Amino acid sequence: MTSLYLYLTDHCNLCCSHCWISPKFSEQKQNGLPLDSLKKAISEAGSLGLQSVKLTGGEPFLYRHIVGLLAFLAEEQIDVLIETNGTLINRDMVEHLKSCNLDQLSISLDAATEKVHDQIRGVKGSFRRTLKGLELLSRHDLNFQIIMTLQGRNRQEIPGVIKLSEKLGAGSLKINPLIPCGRGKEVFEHKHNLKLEELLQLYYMVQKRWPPKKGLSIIFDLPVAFLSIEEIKQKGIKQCPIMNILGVLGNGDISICGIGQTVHDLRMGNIRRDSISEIWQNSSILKDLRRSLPGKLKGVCEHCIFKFQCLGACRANAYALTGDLYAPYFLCQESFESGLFPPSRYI
Amino acid sequence: MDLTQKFKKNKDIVYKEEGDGAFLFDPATGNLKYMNRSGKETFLSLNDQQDLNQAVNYMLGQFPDENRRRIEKDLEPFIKELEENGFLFPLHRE
Repeated sequence: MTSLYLYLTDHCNLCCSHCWISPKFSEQKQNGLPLDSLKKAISEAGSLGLQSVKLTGGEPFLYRHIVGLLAFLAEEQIDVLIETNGTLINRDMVEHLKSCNLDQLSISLDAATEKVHDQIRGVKGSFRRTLKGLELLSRHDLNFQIIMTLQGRNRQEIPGVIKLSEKLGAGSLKINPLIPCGRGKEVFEHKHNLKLEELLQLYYMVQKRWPPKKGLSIIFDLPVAFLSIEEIKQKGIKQCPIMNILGVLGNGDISICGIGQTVHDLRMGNIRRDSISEIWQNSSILKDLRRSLPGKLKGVCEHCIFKFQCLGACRANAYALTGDLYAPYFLCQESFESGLFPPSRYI
Repeated sequence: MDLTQKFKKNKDIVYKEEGDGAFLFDPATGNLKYMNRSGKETFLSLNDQQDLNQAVNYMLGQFPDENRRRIEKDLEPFIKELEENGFLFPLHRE
């Protein structure tokens, strides 16, 4: 195991239309998991090879014990990755972030305009608060990544977000296609998502207008099958991390990642009563995954030349959509069925 | 590097052209390599009837602006990588 994904609270102070976790709305600090239980789980995972912890949620900075947790991770010299909406980052928090082994700090920003961002994030004023957080990080020279999730409402915002990311000094900008999971499902049902052709057009536009250069690195998070050779050579192949991680949900339940929040049958225990190593070594779900990936991948994934590296893009998403951990990744399958899957990458 | 060595291609691998280059993929091991144009031409020139000297001559014909020494120098790590990935096997001399 290389990483634990800690979904520190199942509450969030924003209400994003596309969130795949669908947390409950709250602006109050949340007790969430007892810090001692988390520390115990992290220490136990250390003996399994743990190198990093991803703190996410809900909104991780709503977690009442976040400062104590960061201090513990610093003591244990564990790398920290954080995914946040950035609205709760203040001067004190910046100091805490500076003193831990911060490997990546990802802040969600869906538009360069207040109106569009606030509309997507479901709370008025969220753009200003996120921007304030970003400016604070920038002033304190903390390296951060901006994450933009693409849907119909913000497709025109890409140039503005790139410009803003450069202005703020972000290390990278990750552009994520929306996934039909959690609240994201409704975006698909209302057909506010971008079709594959549109996503590919935007990817080519970004590649052409903003070729790799010093400074901001732009990561268009499409499955590797659609990426250019140049991009694969430069950035490598992103793999579904499912073989090397475990997720701990806001109530302590242990799952293959955050998917347990919406798909209960992928929960394998709870850190309050179960041992992480016991689950890591004996869970029938994990044993089956280790035996069967990539060999049992179905549909277009079975025939893709990248299947050993990519492992089917996101197995959690495949399961959430179909109830099958080996179902093809929806974007790749859709592209194959509509004749858009690159033939040179299919056997 | 022994330029009199001959190589045999692994018949179970998949060769797929893309752009100027090509992918090599071994479905049994998952090994994957993208070759640029010169790599692709080199790979295509290899067969169990020709030794590496002949492959170098073929490459000189394809890329007349390159010099022999440079091609030979690039050939060594390229062949080594293909061998390590199981895409090629050296033919044993009798």
